[in-house]
Amino acid sequence: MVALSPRSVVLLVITYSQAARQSLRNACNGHPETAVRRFGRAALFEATEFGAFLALRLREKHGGDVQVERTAPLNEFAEVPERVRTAAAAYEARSHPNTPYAKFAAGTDHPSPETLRDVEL
Amino acid sequence: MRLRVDGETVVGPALDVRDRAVAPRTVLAAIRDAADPQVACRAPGRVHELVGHVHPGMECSLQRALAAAARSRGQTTTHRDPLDAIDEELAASSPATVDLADARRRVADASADVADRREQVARASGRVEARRDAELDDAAATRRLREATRRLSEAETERIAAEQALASERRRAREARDERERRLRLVDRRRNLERRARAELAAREADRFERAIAALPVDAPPAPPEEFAGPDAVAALAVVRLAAPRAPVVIEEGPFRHAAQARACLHGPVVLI
Repeated sequence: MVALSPRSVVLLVITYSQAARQSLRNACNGHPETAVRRFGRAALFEATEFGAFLALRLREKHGGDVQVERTAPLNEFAEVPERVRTAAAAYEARSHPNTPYAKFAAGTDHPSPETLRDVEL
Repeated sequence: MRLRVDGETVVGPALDVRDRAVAPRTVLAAIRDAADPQVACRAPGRVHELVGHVHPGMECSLQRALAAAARSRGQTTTHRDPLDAIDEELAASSPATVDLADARRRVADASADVADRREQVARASGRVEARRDAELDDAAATRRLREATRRLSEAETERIAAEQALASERRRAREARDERERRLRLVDRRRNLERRARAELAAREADRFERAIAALPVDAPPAPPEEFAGPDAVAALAVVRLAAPRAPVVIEEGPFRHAAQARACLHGPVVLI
């Protein structure tokens, strides 16, 4: 597989049927410069016009059995509030591995899972 | 079996038409097609599908053929019930088709409109300012600015509506995908079970296969299916012998000197061609 290119945005293509999965495999094998990664029934395509072309071809062929999303790397410093980053780091550093996050956060300044779930990035 | 060839009808369970002008494919097609008048015979089943035409250089999926032979003897595996259950679930499952293209197009159009009208408001606003700076009457320009602002507001409302409609369709699409994913898991599971069932059934025929090879008038050393090194055509004849399909098997360039020998060896109707 070709290493992920410096272009940051990629298309995520996910298949939902055997036939679509096979077509995706063929597309990835046929165009390794565009299909930069494959995970079984899903793959990342370069967000170039050719990548879009490949993705849309799959959708034309398999309709609802193909999902196409556009993704970008997450810059947690620009896009995620500090309290979330801090909570994640603190939780991973916890001394009791079997503590679920909800319990860990209780009684601390860390946000509860419910409040985290309620807020969109 | 009755076979029409060269304007003549030949009858019997063991026919030799090697010296006649008739193509194996034609005879085979006629065997498989009940409506074809060239051949009258018992209807072929699954075993015949796989080994009903034996010819040099043929490829025989031996495991499939042996599994079919086992099934034709009434053999089943413990995988039958889960396979049937999966088939029922698949028949009952019909994921919705959610077409997001229209919703997306609506959002794209609405966004373009908003951008357009925002620009118009900016221009209209500029004109009002210009009039005021020049201390000219700005009533008309102000009216146009108000109109442009109103149209912008309309466009923004439409865009919000379009985005909400798209969000709602995306939710439906996600549910439909959940169902598709479930189907895919079922399909994959079915393939695995079928593969396992075939392997089990084929294994049950291993001894009979080896004995069948030994009974054929060929040089190939008898061996169980996984180890058999002879040509696929020989393996196919062994399957024919042990499965004894009721429909006539078409044999091209086989090891038999004459049709009666073939029939005796294979326990069923044959056409040597």
